[in-house]
Amino acid sequence: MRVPIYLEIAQWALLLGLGVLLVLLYRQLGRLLGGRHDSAELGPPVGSKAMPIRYASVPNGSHERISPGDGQPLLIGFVDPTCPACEQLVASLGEMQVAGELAGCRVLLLISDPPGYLRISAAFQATSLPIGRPLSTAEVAGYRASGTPLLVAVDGGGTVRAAGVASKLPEVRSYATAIVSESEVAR
Amino acid sequence: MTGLVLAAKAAVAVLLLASGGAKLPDLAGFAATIRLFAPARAQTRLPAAARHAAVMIATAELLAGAVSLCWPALRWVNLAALALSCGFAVVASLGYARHQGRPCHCFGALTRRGFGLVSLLRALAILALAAIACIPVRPAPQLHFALGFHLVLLAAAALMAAAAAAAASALLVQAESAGAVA
Repeated sequence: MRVPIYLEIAQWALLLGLGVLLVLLYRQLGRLLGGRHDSAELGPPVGSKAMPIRYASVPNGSHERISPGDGQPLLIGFVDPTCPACEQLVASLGEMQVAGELAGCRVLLLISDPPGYLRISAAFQATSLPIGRPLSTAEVAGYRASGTPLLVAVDGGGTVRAAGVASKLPEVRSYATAIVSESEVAR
Repeated sequence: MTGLVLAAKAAVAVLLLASGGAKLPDLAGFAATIRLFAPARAQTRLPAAARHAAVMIATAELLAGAVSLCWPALRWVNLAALALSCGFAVVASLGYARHQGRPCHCFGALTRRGFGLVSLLRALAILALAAIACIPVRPAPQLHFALGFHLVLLAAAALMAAAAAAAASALLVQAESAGAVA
């Protein structure tokens, strides 16, 4: 029986498509097994000193400076309104703020998207946490914020206590308790 | 010429299956992309509507891809695929003009590339293939075959969509643990 030419072509197209997907999966498997996990390069090393950041406050645009190590614990979230996991992080921080779990702790949300993008996210519009945009990429180079969401917990002495990807409430809470409880103990 | 038309038709069908399947595990990400193009005054009602739109678009891609691949003689499917491709080209053009670098999610989590020249050229290439696929094939009987062949193609289409969804899920897990590349 002669196979219709369309079937031959469709077969090759499917084979090519599956081949591309196989390569993608193989690369992913190689990353996981080889230990070349991207998260190893995200965020400042725990135990390192956090750098000061200059940023433009959103929405008024005034230039501000935050200096870790002035005695007050600090949570810095590197987030973007176009990233769903970042919206979840902002919502989690909002819940903690309402519950009083962020008392005694400063929080700063740093975005790389232009401020106009805040309109697309209900979580960003609803939050009362301070939002800023770094004045330059060099300002945040020490934080190795190559991806979002990145949450960095800095204790009152300016030392990074935790850094990494976090968005769900229990994860975010663990970052906050790492610095808030320590400062309370110090008092 | 017939070979080229049939190849374009099969390629568009496979691309639609891959993009539709890959969007399913990352509907939240695709919905965020849809919100980029919504007017400011509609944003308050958007989270649910954008998610519904994301589901509808992914489903439309899967249906158009599967029917186009399995029943190549149906000419209206070529027009449906062409309409979808036109939509993608318009979105890629607007994204290139207004939202460069923002996440595209055109192929779900399979690609982290944002709106830019590459995504625009890719959308135009798909549009060109979809337009070629609309050229009538002579002789038409080449596109009619036994029911068994249709069913085999349908199974292959389901496999393709499932493979794309699985690959996108795996890459999404990695992106969520490593942070989406800014």
